[in-house]
Amino acid sequence: MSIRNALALTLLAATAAQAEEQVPQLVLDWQSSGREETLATEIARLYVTLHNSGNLAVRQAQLTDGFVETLLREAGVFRGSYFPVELDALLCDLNSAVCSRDLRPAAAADLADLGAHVGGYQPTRGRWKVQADQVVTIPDYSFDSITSLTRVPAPAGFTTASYQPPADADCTPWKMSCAEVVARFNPPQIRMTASPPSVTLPIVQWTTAIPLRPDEASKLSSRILQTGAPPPAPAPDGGVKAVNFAVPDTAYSSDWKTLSVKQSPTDVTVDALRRTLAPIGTINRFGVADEPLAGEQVPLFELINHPFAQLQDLPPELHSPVGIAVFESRLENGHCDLPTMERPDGTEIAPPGATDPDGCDQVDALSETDADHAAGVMGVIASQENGKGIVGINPEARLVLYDYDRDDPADRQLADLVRNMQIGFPEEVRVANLSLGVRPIVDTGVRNALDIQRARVLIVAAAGNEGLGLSPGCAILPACLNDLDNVITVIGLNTDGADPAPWRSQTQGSNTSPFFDIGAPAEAVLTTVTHNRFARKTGTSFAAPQVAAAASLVFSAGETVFGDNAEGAQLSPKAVKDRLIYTADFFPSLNGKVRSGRLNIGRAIAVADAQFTLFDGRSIVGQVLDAPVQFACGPRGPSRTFPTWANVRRLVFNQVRRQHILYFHDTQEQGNRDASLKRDPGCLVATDSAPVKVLTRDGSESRVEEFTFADIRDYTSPLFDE
Amino acid sequence: MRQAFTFALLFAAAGASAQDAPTAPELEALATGVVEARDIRIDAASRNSDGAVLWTGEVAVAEAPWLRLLLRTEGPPFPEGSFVALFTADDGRSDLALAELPREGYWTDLLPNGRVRLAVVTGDGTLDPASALVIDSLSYPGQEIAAYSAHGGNQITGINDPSVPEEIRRLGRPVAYLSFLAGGRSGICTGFLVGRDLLMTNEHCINSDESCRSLSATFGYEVGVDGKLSYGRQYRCAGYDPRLTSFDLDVTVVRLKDGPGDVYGMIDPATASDDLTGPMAVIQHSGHNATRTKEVSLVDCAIAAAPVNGRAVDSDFTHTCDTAKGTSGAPVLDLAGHFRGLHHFGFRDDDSDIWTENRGVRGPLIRDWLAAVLAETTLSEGGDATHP
Repeated sequence: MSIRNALALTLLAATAAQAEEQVPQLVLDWQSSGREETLATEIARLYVTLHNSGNLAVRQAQLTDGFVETLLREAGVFRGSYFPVELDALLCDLNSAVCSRDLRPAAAADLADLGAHVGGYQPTRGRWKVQADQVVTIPDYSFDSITSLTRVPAPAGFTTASYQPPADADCTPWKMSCAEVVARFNPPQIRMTASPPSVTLPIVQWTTAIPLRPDEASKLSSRILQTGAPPPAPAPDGGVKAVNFAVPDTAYSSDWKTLSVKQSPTDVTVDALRRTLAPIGTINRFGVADEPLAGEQVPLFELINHPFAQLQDLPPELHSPVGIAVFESRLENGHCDLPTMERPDGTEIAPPGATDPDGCDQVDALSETDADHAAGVMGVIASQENGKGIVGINPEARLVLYDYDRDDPADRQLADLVRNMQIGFPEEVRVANLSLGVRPIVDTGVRNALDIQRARVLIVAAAGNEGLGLSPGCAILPACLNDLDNVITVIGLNTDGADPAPWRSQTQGSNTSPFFDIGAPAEAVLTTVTHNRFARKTGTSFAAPQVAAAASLVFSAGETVFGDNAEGAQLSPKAVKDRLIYTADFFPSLNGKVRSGRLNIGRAIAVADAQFTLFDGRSIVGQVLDAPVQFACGPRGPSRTFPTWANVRRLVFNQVRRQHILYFHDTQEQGNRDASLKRDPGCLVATDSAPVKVLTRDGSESRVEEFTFADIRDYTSPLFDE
Repeated sequence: MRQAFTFALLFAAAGASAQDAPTAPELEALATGVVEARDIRIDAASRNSDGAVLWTGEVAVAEAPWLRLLLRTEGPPFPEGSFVALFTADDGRSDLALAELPREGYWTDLLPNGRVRLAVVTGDGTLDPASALVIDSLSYPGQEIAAYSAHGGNQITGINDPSVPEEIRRLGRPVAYLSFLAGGRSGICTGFLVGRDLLMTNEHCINSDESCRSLSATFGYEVGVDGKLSYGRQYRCAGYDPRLTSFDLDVTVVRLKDGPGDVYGMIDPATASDDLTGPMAVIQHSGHNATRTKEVSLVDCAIAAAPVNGRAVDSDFTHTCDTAKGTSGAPVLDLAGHFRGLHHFGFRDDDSDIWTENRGVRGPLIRDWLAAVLAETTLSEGGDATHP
């Protein structure tokens, strides 16, 4: 559950005409760190923090054996290897009729830390006078476990064969055992004989939703309201679980009462949880609408048809942590809105964490260093859904940062690139973003270096900003190597929604070529820059990462949907490249500038179903049950050709030429995606009356839609056939 | 003498177009860069950014080691406090106040690696629609590299090459890469410090207010031992004084702002003598590589004959040190660092001509001239001639 979801609770409550609920009630998701040895402390400090801010939800429960610890464990509201004194003190204060303790005022310094005192007093053990069957007040939360992967220092003597995953770990999201996950994410590395300094391991985290009291003084609440995010529809049952916040006022010390009334309970709670990230877990499951600057990103998301354009979160099949290698200028520091990034040597660039600045939403146009360029590329791809700043196109992507020195001579730049390609990428890396262009003096083996990644990694190259119209065999690398199956070259477009053109400014413009592959907006792309700031960046460098991130989503969706039958099988980079090309939006204004059109992420990631738009306006998505094996295409008469339906990837009507544009895999073998993807710009469809039947699904309901071939305005094939 | 010089230039121009004619001598060893008109106008209608930042954009020339922009303003003045920020490839930033840009334009410093990102900041004031910042022209080095009078193979060596002794490398610290623009042309020469703020080069490099105004003297413009191109600090000219120029000796001294001698030291002309024996070194920005970073001629480098006629009778010596375009204004030193002369002429290899050796102006003539003009100019301004 995210903050945005909590808005629904607020609106439901507001209909009951209760003035207090005019302010949104926030519900945060809390998550433990995944370290078993600190879990008890983390949960205790969570409860104490909530108690001290007046946000602890409680209920009544009956003791079974006279010990509150046993009750808490049985009720599922406490886990861990011991029972912390802070929690004992808190429970004692909640049950003062049956418990007393020494109330020694906490030091002034401790009062500033919501987790370091209990109601303004030092944590002390309670003197309980209870017996079995007695009813007491306990925290009221429901915990779930989730298994995720994290990069940690390698345990002593670590090998993938000997490693024992945590007992509670559930690796079914990866469709393999946890041992297999460990093996997959920690492959042996070429020319590396020493043990890796860090490894990727599954951890079990405990998570729970934390409702907070409506709080008029909360700046966070105000900021969320200002985003204008529409509330989701109420839950079908219309019910909202009532939250019974503890009323601990009588247990607060006078010092704490005085201090706490000066603060927004919501804001101090969020700050406390955020600042004490390591010891108490993290707040990290926000929705896209929680990003303060997401509203400013909507125009871009609309242009590339990203689900975030409707402020909708990505569906689960897009949550696989696909790795993206990014070749960029060196970044020294992390960013409050970027994930922890890895370097090839296993070191990490982490967000500022405990020194996280307030806000994390400052837009600063004077951010023009090479490091700003690097941070900008990262942000376009994977800025986090964390209630800060912006959101990237694939927040689940894992970034691996390869240092690339733009100030080196051209041939040295390429030599470095070749060396990195030859060494190879970590296993999880399936996409590489190269927002760079170099004209080599001599052949440095770049083509071979890219080609050896053909089976594993899609290389996304920026077309360059010289404003040149280029031809095949041009000299800018890697953009001009896109004849390789695993290289896709991206031109920059302006922000015209209906009639886009190659981006051009007063001083620069996107290179173009009828042989380059796809376009994406390159103007004023809001993204992260150094020093925890944001800026609008321009150039093909910021178009390419949109395609790189989109590619990672296609890898995620494709391998989730179609990866069941062959364990370990990976989607080929060519399949992803072709998918991005034939799912683009085509515009006459881009003819001769690029071989397809503008990136359309929504169409690309809908990998499972055929997508139809009919001339009558209907949109039909589902499984094709019946269609002509071949259909006539071309001028009427004996010269017409007969494309094989199973090899058609896209059939879209060109309003200007009154013909369809056809993309197909050029092969006699039906359904083969390995063949060359060809484009026929002038297909006059002459198969009019052949019926097409599509099985559509709406929840558990399914039905068959029927129409004729002549009704098809736009058809996109699924990534693979069923 | 000036007539003879003019004749030589015309002769060179004529020879350049005749494929089968004997190769004509080329006198001045300055290199020329490229100047391109751009006329990019940034005004209120150009807005592409938020708030106080009116416009951001990038100018780049592929593969150029550096770039310079001619910036000027048009129309009513920009609001007070307006500036253009230049973000360079080496992550440097410099802000130029728009109110202080001369109407005829200002050539920026060298912008490394041929690319710069700009941001025009106008503050909170209202920008008159007729006010504009104009990127008038840009300049970058040309690609021509001509070795002059090379003895055997051209043996110019990078200053940080392992074969170069440390003491020679140290002697090169006061030597600067000069870029200037005058008469619509871009020139590249070598210069060196002869005082805390006095830079010496050839008269045929810097000889006017215009060339002085646009002069950028870059110290530490070198390829390091790690193979990386590095820039030291750039210094601008404080003003051109025709009294500090000698046409006959082909020498000019200009004052640089901010006293670079405090950082880079100096080559002392007072060490000059007519002892012309022994191996020599010419530390230069010659263009042995395309970036014209600091290099040195050490191998087969000696003074061959002296005196010989240069621009003046008996003003020159000939030398066998390898040079190329861009070496103009380089110091000729003995290996102890004593000043032996000022390189100024180079010639294409051609046995049919009497001009077959590189030429330097004799050190003692430079020494005596400099002492005299400094005494004259400094005393006339009430200064101390003993501390240039």
